[in-house]
Amino acid sequence: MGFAGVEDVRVGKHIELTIEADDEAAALDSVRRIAEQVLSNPVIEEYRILESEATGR
Amino acid sequence: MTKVGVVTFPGSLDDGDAREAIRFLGGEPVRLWHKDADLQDVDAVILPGGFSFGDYLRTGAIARFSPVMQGIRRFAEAGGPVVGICNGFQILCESHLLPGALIRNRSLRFVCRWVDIRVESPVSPLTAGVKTGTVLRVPVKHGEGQFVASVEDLARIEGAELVAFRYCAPDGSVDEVANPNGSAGSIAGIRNERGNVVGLMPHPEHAVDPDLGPVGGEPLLVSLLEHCMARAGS
Repeated sequence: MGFAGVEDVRVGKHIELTIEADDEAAALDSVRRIAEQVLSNPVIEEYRILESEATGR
Repeated sequence: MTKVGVVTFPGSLDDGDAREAIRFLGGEPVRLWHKDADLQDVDAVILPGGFSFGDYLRTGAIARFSPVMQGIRRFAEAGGPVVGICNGFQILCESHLLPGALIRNRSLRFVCRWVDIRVESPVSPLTAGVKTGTVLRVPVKHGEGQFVASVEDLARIEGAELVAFRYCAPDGSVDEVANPNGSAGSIAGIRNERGNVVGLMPHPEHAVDPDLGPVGGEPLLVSLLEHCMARAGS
């Protein structure tokens, strides 16, 4: 295909959550629990929480 | 008559065949809906194959939260026989009722064909009545059947003889050629430590009627029914 320099490739899932919580720490705590208990299976997957952004509603 | 509950989740496909196989072999199938927490006093439970909730997140990941799984967890903790076939096996792993997980086949292709499996342990409802080493012909049909587990879990599974079935050649020899999906140790099915919960990727319920092909599933489901009768009698 003419693309040089690609040494490795992986495909993953990108899931965006909007959380209503009292503060950012509480929201991150929710996201962490959801990631651990539902969105990922620790036997075969790992997850990273990339960033959070307060919408200040 | 032995009552075998067969759970239907949204997206289950093989619940009908599982019920029919139980009926064909002399048991009484009982329909269980995934929202039923009550198991209706069944003697055993089958989690059938299919694509529960579309398998969109991960196979079995959503089914694990169905109300019926609370009843099944209690039933399993009380020693009740629980069998997971294909998607049912995936659900049992996601529910932590069995160790490990099932990921995409190593070929990255859906596999639909007859395989031979070797019975590895008599300690499960499906194998209690089958001689260890017996080779059975049963079909597989799955995209995500590659059994994996952590190094520690795999060592525990092998060490405690939790492997119930391995993919094998027709003569019973285990090699990579006979492994349809790249499963660790050619593992086709495992049981829990207590021996009352067993999961496997191949489909015994599709292989019981001689008019329709090989009948490698028959001794396994007969074993399940006999195991239930023995439990009821004890």
